Amino acid sequence: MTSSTAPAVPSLDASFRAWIDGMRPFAAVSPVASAWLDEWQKAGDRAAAWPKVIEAVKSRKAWATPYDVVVTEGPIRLIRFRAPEGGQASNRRYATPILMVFALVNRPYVLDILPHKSVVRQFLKGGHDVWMIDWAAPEPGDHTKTLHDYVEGHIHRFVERVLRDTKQTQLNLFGYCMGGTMSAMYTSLHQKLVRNLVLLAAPFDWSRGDGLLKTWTDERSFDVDAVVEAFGNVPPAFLGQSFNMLKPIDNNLRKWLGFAEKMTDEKFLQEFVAMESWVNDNIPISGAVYRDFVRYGIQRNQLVKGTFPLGPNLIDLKQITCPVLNLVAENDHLVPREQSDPIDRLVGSTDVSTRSIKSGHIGLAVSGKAHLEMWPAAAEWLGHRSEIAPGESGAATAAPRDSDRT
Amino acid sequence: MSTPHAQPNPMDPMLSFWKEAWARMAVAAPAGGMPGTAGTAAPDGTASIPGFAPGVDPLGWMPTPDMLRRMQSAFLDTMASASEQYMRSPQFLDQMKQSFDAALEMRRQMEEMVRRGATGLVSGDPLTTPGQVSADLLAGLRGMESRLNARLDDLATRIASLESGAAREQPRPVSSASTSQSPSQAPSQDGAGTTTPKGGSRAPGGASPTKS
Repeated sequence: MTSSTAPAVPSLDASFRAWIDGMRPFAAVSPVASAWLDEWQKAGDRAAAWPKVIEAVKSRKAWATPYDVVVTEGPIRLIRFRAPEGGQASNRRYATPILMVFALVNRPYVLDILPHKSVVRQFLKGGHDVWMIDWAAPEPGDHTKTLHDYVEGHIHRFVERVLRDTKQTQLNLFGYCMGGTMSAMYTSLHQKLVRNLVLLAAPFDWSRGDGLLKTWTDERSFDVDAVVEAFGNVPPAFLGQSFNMLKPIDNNLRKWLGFAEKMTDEKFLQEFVAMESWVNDNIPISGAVYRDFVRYGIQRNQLVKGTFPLGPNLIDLKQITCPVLNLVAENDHLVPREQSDPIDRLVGSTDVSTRSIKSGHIGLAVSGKAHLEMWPAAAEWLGHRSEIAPGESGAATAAPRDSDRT
Repeated sequence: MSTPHAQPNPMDPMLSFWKEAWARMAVAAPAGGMPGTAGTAAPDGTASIPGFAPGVDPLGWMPTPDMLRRMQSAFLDTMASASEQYMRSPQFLDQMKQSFDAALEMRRQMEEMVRRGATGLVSGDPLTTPGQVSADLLAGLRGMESRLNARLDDLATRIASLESGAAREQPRPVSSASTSQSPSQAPSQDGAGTTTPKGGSRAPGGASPTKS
């Protein structure tokens, strides 16, 4: 007895491929026709890739590296990363911990967005102990929290906690964008607690560069008080749209055309989905912080003048005397490198190194070039200037090399 | 005496945009020029009728996908530079200011309306405060409440774990060398964001939590 089975119905994708293959002999007479047939083939591949796109979106995870939440202050978390491959403290060559301080307008997991594009992993691999402040979204009642509350409150308490838990007297402070400016402010007030300062696309001199943000927030056309009064905490949609409109054609057209071109490449798809998830994960910023930063920083440029008020203090960057590593992007449209470069003459340090790569603001954290060249070098730079963990050999400090200044 | 020609033409920005776009696209297209004008020159350089010359692509007059891509890119470049130029112009900044003012005024009026409505509900109540102040106070209290709740939950967990540890140790003889694990102080998370008790089970695919 034989069992009859229904003939398999070819999928739409297979049928389309068969049709394309059938047309090839006719198109062979014309290179232009062949090129258009290839284009049709690619279109078919793209249509067939949509289930993979949906799967990539569904399976997206925010953090690539496991971590412990050490302490929380309301929604704000202090986290400590574990070695990704099951390694523990034995992997740590340096006793001086790194505390990463991110900007207040986005989530910090862009520094740990994918296993092969993780700044956190670069430092873990380099033998460092990595901690991070995850600011999270402020609560509605937090709109009166000032920059002073963040720098002298949260950052200071977290620094003390890291030092207590690691039994160290100093740590390395690492700040990205606005977080870099806040880290520099903190270091100027507590230099004794900071061994090295790493700044990543951090703005200091807003009189330089011709970024659109500076134009838009000009005092003549932008009333920061009115915005804060109306919103309280400045909403993420407002911030997100502002960033989006800095490059409207690239962000709203060219990006999606590029996506359509490359969506069949699984690695590209994974990276694209990760970045899109992060870019759209804006969080509100406390109204008072926004006002302080826009008024005293962007509009009046008081940081370089030594008159930026932070609670009862005026920030004097000359008080920073520790080694400083300034990492900048040459094509940064958000924080033009001209706004970051002056840090070498604004601080009191004698050991200041600047490194730049050809990328944009976010490319500093996620581009392949940055992970190939810049981050291993940054981990090494920091290693040369950090305390060696007990039981590890090597020079605890090394004199700055000429090659560090690029 | 007025000179009509001194008036700027309102169409100038539009015309200059299209002029620049076409110029850029022409450069991006191959040497033959724009699509449809590539011609069908035979290898010997003589002009020929499309499809009838030997060794000549009969569809050579059509643009290739690559050519269209390059032209698209040139057009987007023009749009990008034009939009950046516009977003820096005084006209845009004036419009932005007016939009802001209008949006903020609308929000202010809405709040005022809500406040009046709320005041009307409790009219005569001397304790009624302006809407914004009430909202701020409530938001502050809510934040404080949620923090206190989280702290109480944390303390309850710690007490429970202390009590369960003590209960386990009690029946044992004093001589036995039991090593009780210290209670956790903070939760730990794996990469997926799932919370597990610190010192507890190993995270799937990850390492056991470190002591901190």
